[in-house]
Amino acid sequence: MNDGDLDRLLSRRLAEPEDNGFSARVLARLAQGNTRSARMEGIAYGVTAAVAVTALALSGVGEAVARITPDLIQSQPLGIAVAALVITGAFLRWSWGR
Amino acid sequence: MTETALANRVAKSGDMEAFAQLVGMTQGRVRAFVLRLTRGDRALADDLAQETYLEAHRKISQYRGDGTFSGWLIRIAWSRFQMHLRSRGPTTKELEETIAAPSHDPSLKLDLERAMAQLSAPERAALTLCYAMEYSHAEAAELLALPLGTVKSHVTRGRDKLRALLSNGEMTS
Repeated sequence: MNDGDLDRLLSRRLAEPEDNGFSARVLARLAQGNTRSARMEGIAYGVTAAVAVTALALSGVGEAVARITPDLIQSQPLGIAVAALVITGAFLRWSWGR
Repeated sequence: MTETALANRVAKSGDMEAFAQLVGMTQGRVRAFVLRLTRGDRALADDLAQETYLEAHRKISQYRGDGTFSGWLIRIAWSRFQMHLRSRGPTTKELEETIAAPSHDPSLKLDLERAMAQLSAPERAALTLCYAMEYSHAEAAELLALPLGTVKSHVTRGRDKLRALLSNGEMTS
């Protein structure tokens, strides 16, 4: 085989496969990945909120804040309500992402 | 709309329709290249091509538009293929030296494909890019992340091997 024949053979365009659902599979995997990311983000928010509320309760930060702002000592239910709102919000965000 | 314009839209606004168009426009070229690398293993080629697009989507903000989007995909595909080789054995080089046996894929009917299957992966990649895909040696070197001299060596060595394989009559089908 001479150089010219080899060059011609090598220069033939590659046969490009038909799509046959390939693009759809790629996009489906991307969508799957996005859903998983949203779910993980939601879980992260929930865990962070739960840890924050627990840490605040255990560390005495709440009492310290209450000493600085005496009005807050009267509003423990408000604090619980805010914590509940944060946790609910995180849960909703997580469930929307599913 | 050009590949670069579509890629910019994906990078800026996460436009999935634009990404779908990009996949549709480039999948034939990318899959054909990967199919050559995998010596005709269609299932493996499609897995690697899918991984290529997922990585491209993740890193699309890194695409600067200084080359074609297809070229950028080819670079990712080559890197994915190398990772695949590494995951299978101790080193790419050792593996490449041990896979000289021709592929048994019945779809490899053409003499050229059967001969190509006996080259090392870098030789197959360099020859494919420089001939069938019409990249210059310098462009191929960039896509394969190899020095220019190395790519030229792969092309020369690959051509010599192919000529020998195709001339000695082993490859008549």
